[in-house]
Formats: sequence, structure tokens, C-alpha cells
Amino acid sequence: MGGFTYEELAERSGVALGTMKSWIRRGLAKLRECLER
Amino acid sequence: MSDNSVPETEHSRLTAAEYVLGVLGASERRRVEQRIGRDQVFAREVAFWEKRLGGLAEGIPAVAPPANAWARIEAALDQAERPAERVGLWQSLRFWRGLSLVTSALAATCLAALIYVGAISPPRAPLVAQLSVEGGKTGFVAAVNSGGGTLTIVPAALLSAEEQKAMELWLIPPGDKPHSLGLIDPNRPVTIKVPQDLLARVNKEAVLAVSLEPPGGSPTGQPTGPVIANGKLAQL
Repeated sequence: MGGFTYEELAERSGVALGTMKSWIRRGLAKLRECLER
Repeated sequence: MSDNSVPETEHSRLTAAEYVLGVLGASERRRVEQRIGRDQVFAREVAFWEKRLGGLAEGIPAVAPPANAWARIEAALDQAERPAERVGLWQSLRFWRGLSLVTSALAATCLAALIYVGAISPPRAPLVAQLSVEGGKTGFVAAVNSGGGTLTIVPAALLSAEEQKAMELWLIPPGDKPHSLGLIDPNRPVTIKVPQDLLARVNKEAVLAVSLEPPGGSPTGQPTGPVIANGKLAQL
């Protein structure tokens, strides 16, 4: 993530911290599913 | 951050992924690092993500850190040092240095005191008494071992011991009543342990006396029979 934390990413994207977290977590969950296959 | 709709294992897996990805804040990173140490399943999950995501880092070209990075790190270290000083006394280097200094000084003082005391205290002269019997002859000789708190009384003359009588030794401090030191034997030396409370009064002011008592000693705690020998203690 370019070395940024959730907080920094949320600030840069102009979204709420919770929103940024759920985006990334959702993405990671999907990635995990793909990797397991 | 905890999402109740996500099962715990799923949640853990995502936390591991977040950690490897590097999106967590400093305090959360520390929590995760501690968990890796004690949770093997979680540690395996972290390893899984490191293997998978590690490739991402390889694709990123190296970036030189900004010139002021080092100054910022130093500033952060300065701030981190203050809480470090508040760590427990037992972890404090300053405390142990101080303690070792104090104890070393104490040890040196003790040693000096020991040498000093050893040099000034004269060898203690033994305290002895000659107990004269009727006619001025010496009947007993007593010697006090003040260090050990004992008194040895040795018969110096053949005394005609009456069959049914015991000989009892008394300590008579000046202006005081006699205190029993126990029974003695007219035929052989006897060493008596001086009772703790009498030890201080066994000095060169006191008198030793021997009286004849019923077998087993005076029943009253005071001499009941005739005094057959007595003598003042003296420093040799």
C-alpha cells in the first residue's frame, strides 16, 4: 500500500477511516479466497 | 475494528494480512507482533501472507529515504527515551550503578572499621579470682572467659568435702545480694555458663564465694550454709 497506514490512506483518499479499512479488508478477504484455490 | 459479522478465524487472517501489508498503525503493529509470539496458528497465517505478498515488495523500486528522515528518527528516539527512564527501578542502569557505588563504599567502610577496631582494642585481660579458705590458703582459682560467657573454677587445695554437702558458687556484685552460678566440684575443674543477665556484673568489682549447701544446691536461691571460700575478681 505504498507504505501507508489505514489512517494515511483514508486521509489521502478523503474517506472515513472505517470505510478505508473495510475496503481493504474486503479486498484481502477476496485475495485470500483466490490464493487458497 | 472488530467486525462481528466476520468469524474469528477470518478476522485473524485479515489482521495478519493487514500486518504484512503494513497498513496498521504503530500500536496495532505492536499488538500483532506480540500475538505472533504466542499464537502459532496466527504466526502461520502471517507467514502465509508474507510468502504471498512478499513478491509485491520485490516489484517496487528502491526509494532513497528523504534527507531529513534521520533527523526525524533521532527526534523520535529522544521522545522515546523519556518513558524509558520511567521503567522499573530494577531495570534502571543508573539505579544499579548507584547501588554498586553505595555498597562498595559501605564495604570499604566496614573493612576500615574492622582494621581500626582491631588496632585499638587491647587484648582483653582475663578476669580471675583467688578464693581463699579459712586460714588464708587459696581454695579455688576462677577464671572468666568473658568472650564465651563462661567461668572456670579450679580447686587449688584439698578440701575436706563433707559427705552430705554440695558446694555452690555465688557471684556477689557490689551492694547486691548473691546470685547463684551453680554447683561446683571440690575435686575437679568445673566450667559454668554464666547466665546472660549476670554476664555484665561479672567484673572486677564483684566477689565470688563458695557456700556449703544441701545436695542439689540452695533451696532458697540464697546461700543457706557457711561460706567456705571467697575472693574478689581481678583483671590480670
